[in-house]
Amino acid sequence: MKKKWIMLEDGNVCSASISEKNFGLHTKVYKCTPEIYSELKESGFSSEMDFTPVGDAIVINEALIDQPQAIQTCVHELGHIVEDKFIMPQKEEQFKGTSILNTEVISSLYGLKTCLLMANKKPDLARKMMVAPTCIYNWALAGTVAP
Amino acid sequence: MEGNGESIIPSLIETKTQPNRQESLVKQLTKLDQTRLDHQVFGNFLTELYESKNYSIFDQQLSENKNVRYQPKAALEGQITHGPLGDIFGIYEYKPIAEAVSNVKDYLGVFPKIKEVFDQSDGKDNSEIVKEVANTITKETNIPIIITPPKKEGDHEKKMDYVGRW
Repeated sequence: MKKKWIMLEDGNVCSASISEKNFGLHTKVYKCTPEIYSELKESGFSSEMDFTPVGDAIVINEALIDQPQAIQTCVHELGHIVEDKFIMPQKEEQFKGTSILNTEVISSLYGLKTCLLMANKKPDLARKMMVAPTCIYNWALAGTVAP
Repeated sequence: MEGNGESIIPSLIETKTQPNRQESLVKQLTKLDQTRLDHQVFGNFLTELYESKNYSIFDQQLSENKNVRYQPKAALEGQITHGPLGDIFGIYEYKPIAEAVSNVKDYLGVFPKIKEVFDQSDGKDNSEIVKEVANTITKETNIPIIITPPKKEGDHEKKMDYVGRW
């Protein structure tokens, strides 16, 4: 399945594909040459392409940005990047080439911290911001359930 | 990722259930300062999380997504848990949520700026606030935030349409 690729202002590229139900996601930014960009346009992404990650990006679902949860989504996704960069930087290298699963812990804390900032200004809105990620908070933070 | 006949792939990490949800809720709530508005909102949120109807929703979602099996299990106060990949990266010790939220480090210095956005959010709708938060994060961190329509069925049949500039 081809992804939707976006060229950023600095000439690098990232995938900007997001599903309809997903509020946001974080993704890698890759160094892009004119050749790679041309190939992307012609054929889409190929694992043969020489993609070098040079940074991170966040993708937000435009169709859901009027939802209260979306207000904390940017920060939630930033939490994933923070975890990768500052808290578990060895994860990516150690498990290179394997399917590594992101945790939701730091991202959930970042999202929740954002909700609490809003709570002092607009408590009703803050409460609604907290609603959607119930299952994540319930499991990852409250620690009450495990499969 | 296998050695000595024993896989370290997360699927083999043993998990155990935490049966006493109500005890956990009480311990979480006692850590909140009910004189604070944000903690009152937080307490309401936590209380709803522990309602049995949400357990059911959660369990159904869980059964469809095996990935969450490998998320760290947070805990009752003082409980030591595995990290997402066992103890490869050390052991997590979780504090009550209120403390965890309070103590999580603002590595990129964004929260004071986001608070400013919220303080000036009167009269703005949700989408405007989202865009301002996104702009603030990009300004403070240089991390681009792309607000884009979601993909739909059939979106991937063409080639040229799916590369663009931001």
